[in-house]
Amino acid sequence: MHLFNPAAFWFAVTIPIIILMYLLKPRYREISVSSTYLWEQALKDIEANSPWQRLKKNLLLFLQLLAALLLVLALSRPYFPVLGDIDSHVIVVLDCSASMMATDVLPSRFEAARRQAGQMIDDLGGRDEMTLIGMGERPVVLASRSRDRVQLQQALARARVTTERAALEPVLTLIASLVRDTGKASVIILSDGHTLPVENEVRLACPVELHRIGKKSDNVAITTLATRREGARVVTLARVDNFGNETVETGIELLADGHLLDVRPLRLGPREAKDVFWEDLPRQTVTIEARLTRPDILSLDNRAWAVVDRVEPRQALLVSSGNVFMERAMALVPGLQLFKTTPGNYDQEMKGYSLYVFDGWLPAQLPPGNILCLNPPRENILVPVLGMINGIERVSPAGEDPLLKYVDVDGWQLARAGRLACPAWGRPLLEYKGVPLVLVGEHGNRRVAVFGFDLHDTNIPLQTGFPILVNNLGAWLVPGVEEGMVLTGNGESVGLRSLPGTEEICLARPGQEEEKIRPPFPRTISLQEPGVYRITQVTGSQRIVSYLVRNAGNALESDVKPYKLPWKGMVGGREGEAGRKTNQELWMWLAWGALLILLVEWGVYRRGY
Amino acid sequence: MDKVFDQEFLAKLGRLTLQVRRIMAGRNSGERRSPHKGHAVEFADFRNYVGGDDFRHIDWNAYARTEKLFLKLFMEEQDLLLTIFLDLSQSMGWGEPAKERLARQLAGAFAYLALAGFDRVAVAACADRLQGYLPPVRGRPSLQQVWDFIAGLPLGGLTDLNTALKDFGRCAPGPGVALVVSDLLSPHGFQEGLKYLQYLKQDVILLQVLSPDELAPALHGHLRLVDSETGDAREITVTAGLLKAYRRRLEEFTRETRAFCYRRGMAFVQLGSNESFEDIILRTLPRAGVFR
Repeated sequence: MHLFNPAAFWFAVTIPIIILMYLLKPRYREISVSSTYLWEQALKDIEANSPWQRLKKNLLLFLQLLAALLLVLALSRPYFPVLGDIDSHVIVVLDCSASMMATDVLPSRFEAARRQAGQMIDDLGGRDEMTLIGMGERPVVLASRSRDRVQLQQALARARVTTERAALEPVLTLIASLVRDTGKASVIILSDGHTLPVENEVRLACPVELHRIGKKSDNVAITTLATRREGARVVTLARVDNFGNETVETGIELLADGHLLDVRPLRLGPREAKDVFWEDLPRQTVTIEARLTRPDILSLDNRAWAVVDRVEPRQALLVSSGNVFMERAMALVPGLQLFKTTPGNYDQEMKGYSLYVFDGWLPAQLPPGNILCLNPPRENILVPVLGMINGIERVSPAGEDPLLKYVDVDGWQLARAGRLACPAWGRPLLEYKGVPLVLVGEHGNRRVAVFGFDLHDTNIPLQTGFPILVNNLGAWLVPGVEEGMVLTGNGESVGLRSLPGTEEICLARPGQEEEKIRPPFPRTISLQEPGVYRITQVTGSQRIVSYLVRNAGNALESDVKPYKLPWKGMVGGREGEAGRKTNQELWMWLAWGALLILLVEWGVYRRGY
Repeated sequence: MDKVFDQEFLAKLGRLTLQVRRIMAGRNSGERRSPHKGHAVEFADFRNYVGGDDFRHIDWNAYARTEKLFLKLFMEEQDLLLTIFLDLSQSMGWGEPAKERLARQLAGAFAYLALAGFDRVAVAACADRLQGYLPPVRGRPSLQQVWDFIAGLPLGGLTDLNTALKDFGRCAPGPGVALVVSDLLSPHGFQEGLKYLQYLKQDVILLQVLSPDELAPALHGHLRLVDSETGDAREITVTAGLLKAYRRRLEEFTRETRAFCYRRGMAFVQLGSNESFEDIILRTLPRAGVFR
C-alpha cells in the first residue's frame, strides 16, 4: 500500500503520544493506609490548582482516538496499485536533452531510450492508451492518448535529441494535468536522470517509474569559454571539467577566426576542473574556438566558441536649447556617443545618427533614426498634446515593463506636463491618473519614446531612478548591444532586433549556408546548433555584422553519470520494468469508517458511558 | 499491660495527679475539691449562722471578736469521674508502631492515675458507635479489671467519633473528666461529639495519636492507597508537590483542631505513636497541663 499524501501523517503525531501515555500507564503499588481522608483532601488541593488531569480509561476516548486515526489515514490518501487494469494509460517521457547524446550505450542513450519506448508501444494491450512526451527545456507532446500503434511509432520516430537541458518540472506539471481527471495512469520516464531541479512541489496521483539509461561517466567538457578586451590585448579563459571518475590526459586547441593559435596539454584528475588562460591573442580577432583533442562519450561539449567584443559606439544627436540633465544622463548610456545642437542649427541633412533627442521641439519631417522626444510642442507630427496638467504629485508605472527595470518612481513630482493622447503606435510607460506622461512605441520603422514634460519643471532629474530610466531607454532605442552576446546553452532562441532602415538580414548558422531574410523580420532566431551565428544587417550600402554564440557544455548535461531523478515526489515510483497499474484509493472507506465510529461514540455518549 | 507498667514507672506515675480544669461535683468523698462545701480540712469561706445550722461549725474565735455568729465553711473533697474514650476503629491498628498500642497504654496510665487518686474510672470503646463500656469503678483493686477491659477491647470498624460520643449520652454517669484518645481521622468529623461531651459536663482532654508515617509519610512512586477501614482505593502518583500538599493539609487539620479545643476550653495534645511512652507521661502531658 502506498500513500499519496504521506505528509498528512504529521497529524497523527498526537495519537501515538496519547497511546504511549496509556502504554506507559504506571503500575500502581498497593499499600494500606490508616485512612485516605487526608490524602483525598491533599489531592483535591493539587487538582484544584492544576489545569491538567490524568487521562483515564474511557470508552469515549478510545472511540475518539480511533476516529481521529481513521481521519488521519484518510487524509494521507492510501492506495494500492491494482495489476492488469484493462483500460490503462501509459505516459512515456523520453529525455531529449544533450546528455542523451552520450554514446556509452550504443548507438546513443537517446536511441536506446527510443528503442525501449518502441518496445512499449509494441507491448500495448488492445485497450491501452499511450501518451508520448519529449522532455527538453519545454515538454513536447509527441502523441496524446493514442491506441494507434502506427501513429505512436511515427510520433516516436519524429522525436529528436536536442542540445537543450532537460526540465522535469514542466513535464510533471503537464502529466499532473493529464491524469487529474482519470487518475488511472502510469508514468515511465526514459532518462539518464540529468534534469533541472524541481523547485516547486509536484505530486502525481499515479505511479512513476524511471528507466535509467546510461552506464558511464567518462566525459571531459569545456564548460566555459569567455573572452574580453583589456586595452590592446584580448584575454581568453577556458574552463575544462573532467566529469569522469578517472584521471584523463587531453589537449586543448585554441583557434582564432578559424586559425589554430595554440595547443596545450591538460591532465585532469577524477571530477577535477582546470582553467586555461590565453592573454595575447591577435587584436583583430573576432571569433575564438576551443577544442578538446581527446574523444569521449559526449563529443558535443568538446568544442566551445566565444566572440570578442567589438566596441563600435553609436551616435546620438541631442537637439536642445540647453538641457544639462539629459546630457548627463545620456552620457551614462554605454556605447553611446552624444552630439549636441540647437533647434535653430538643426538641419534635415544631419543623418547617420542612431538616436535623435528632441527637447521641446520637433522638426517638420522626422529623421531616419530612433527618436527620444522631450516636452513635445502642441503642434507636432508625432504625438497629440491636448493641453496641460498642473501639480502632479505622484507618478505611477502604467504596467510591468522591462524598460522600468530597477526604476523607482516614488517621489517623482511634476509642476506641469503636457496632456498626451496615447497614439496607436505607442503604449504608456508612466502615467498620472490614466494620462500618459512617458510613451514608448514603434512608429513606422523607428523606435520612439516621448516624455510629455520639461525636465526643468520636475524633480525627476534629481531622483535616482532617472538615470536608470534613461539608460534603459537608451539601450532600447539604440539596438545592437546584443552584439557578441554569448549564450551558454540556456536558451534555444534569442530575440532579433533590427536597426532602423534595415533592408535585409543575412543569417549564417554554424556549418550552413548564409540565409537571407527580407522584411518582415522574424522576432527570434533559433539557436539549436552549438557554434557561432553571424547576423549581417544590410542598411543601404552599410553592413553591420553581429555574432551570437551557442555552447553546449554545461555542468548539468556534461556530467553524464546516470543519476536518480531530482524529485522526491516519486510516489510509488521505482526503477525497473514497466508495469501498467492503476491505483485503488482507500480514503473513502476510511472516512466512512471514521463517520461510523463517531456515530457509535455519539450513541455511547447518549447512554452516559 | 503489666509489661508496660513496671514498678518504677508506676512509682513515677504515682507522683502525678490528673489536672482538672473545672471544679466539678463528685459522688463519693475523695481527694478532689468539689463545688460542695463540706467537712474536709481545707477552709473555704464564712457565712452567717442561721437557725438549723450545725452549731459545731460556729467559729467561736470570730464570735469572740465580733460577737456575731459565723459558720466556718470547708471545701468538701469528693472523688472525680474519669471517662476514657478509646478510639479502636480499624485505622488505629495501622502504623509502625501501631497507634492502638499507645492509645491503650495511655488509657491504662490515666486509669491507674485516677484509681490511685481514689477517683472513679469508666472506659468506653469508640468506633462508628460506642462499642463497649465499662461502668465507673473505684479504688486500686479495680485497676486490674480496668486494664483487662482495655486490653480486651477488639479493634475494628469505621471511625465516627460524633456518633460514638453521642452514644455515650445514654450511659453518662455524671460530670467528670473525659479523656478522648483517637487519631481523629474521622471523615464525619469529631467536633460535634466533643461539644456533646462538654454538654454532659465533661472536662475534655483530647489526645490525638498519629503514626510517624502519617505525620511525615515517606512514600514515593505510583501507589494505590487502600483505606484500612473502608477498603476504598485511591491511585496516586506521589510527587514532591503532593507530599507538600499532604503536609500542608495535616498542619491545617492540626491547627484547626487546636484552635477548636482552645476555644472550647479543652486540652489537646498531638502524639506520635513512636514517641517514648515515658516521655509522654512524664514530660509531654505535664507540660501540656494535663498532669500536675
